[in-house]
Amino acid sequence: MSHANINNLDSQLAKLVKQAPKEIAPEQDLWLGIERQLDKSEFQQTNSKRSQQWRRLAVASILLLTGVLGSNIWQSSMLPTTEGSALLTTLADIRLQHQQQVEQLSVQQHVNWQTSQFSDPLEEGIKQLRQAAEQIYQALQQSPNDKELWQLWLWTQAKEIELLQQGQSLPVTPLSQGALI
Amino acid sequence: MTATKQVMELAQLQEPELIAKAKQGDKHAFKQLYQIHHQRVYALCLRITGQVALAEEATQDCFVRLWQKLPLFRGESQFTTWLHSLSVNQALSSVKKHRSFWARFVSQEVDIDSVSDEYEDLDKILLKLPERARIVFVLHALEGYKHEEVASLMGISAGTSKAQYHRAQKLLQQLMSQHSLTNKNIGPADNGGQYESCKH
Repeated sequence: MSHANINNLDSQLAKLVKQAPKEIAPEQDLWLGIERQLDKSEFQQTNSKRSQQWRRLAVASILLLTGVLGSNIWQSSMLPTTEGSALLTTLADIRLQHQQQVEQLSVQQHVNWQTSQFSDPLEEGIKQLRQAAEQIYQALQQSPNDKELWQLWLWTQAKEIELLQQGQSLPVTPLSQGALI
Repeated sequence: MTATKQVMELAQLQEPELIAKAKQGDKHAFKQLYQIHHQRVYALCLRITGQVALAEEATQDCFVRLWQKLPLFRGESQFTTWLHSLSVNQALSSVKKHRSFWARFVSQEVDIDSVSDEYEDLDKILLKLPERARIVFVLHALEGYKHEEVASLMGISAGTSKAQYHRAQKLLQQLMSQHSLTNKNIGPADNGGQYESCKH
């Protein structure tokens, strides 16, 4: 292409650009499609507003439910703690009373039945009972609400007292020192 | 009030009044605005998208977007300028949305020889240009945007915009030369080869 030709095409292109219409009519009416989309977008906006209201309501309900449940759970978790601490106090009190009772029995011991020939199985039984009672006591400190443990613990204590009392009725050798009689 | 009477009254309103009514949700007023501006918007969309179907869809999208955005129009700029900017963005968005998967990776090359002789003006040969070259040419030469503005709109560099513009020029000249467009429809140029910008 010669330089003159290029210049000519360049200027002719400029002419085309200048003559290009600013407006072109579409081949079909586009308004109907626009109107449909406007209605649709309005419908969607209304729906979106409604769904937003529902969403807010749902969030509020969930928050309320969570609050109520959380409060209940917190209260119920606090209740066992309060109850548990009361039970632990009772546990310690009962243990103390039992120890005092055992001591009292020892003090009231008129004879040294432990030196008796029949005392070995009894001593062994009391020893085992005390070991069991101690283990149950520790378990009860961990779970003071366990009724079965309570019953077992109280039984071991009662049995210990019973055995101690039985021991006192055994044929005995008089105490060599500090006897009351 | 009947719809016809309402339309008759709206037709007598000035554009600012139509805008005010349309902002309040008056669809009849909005339709009047459409009637006034849709051919300008369609021309822009057709030149940017390069396809009639896509241009129609983009034009509709422009007016739906306009309806949604109209409450934000404060009258600080001219309505036509504001609408023009909205339309350019919407048309570019349509092109991007409909661009084929492979077109993102493979450059579109136009086959000059395949162009038919049926064109009679610039718009016919514009449609034969590769997408990017066409859009740059339309925005710079026809719509009056600077290369920096074109670059910003298209997400390319100003240098790329210039290169694409020159590419478009050469391709258009080839098309004109091969198909004797100049002899058929155009008289001698009278503006010294300088393109007149018509940006709003």
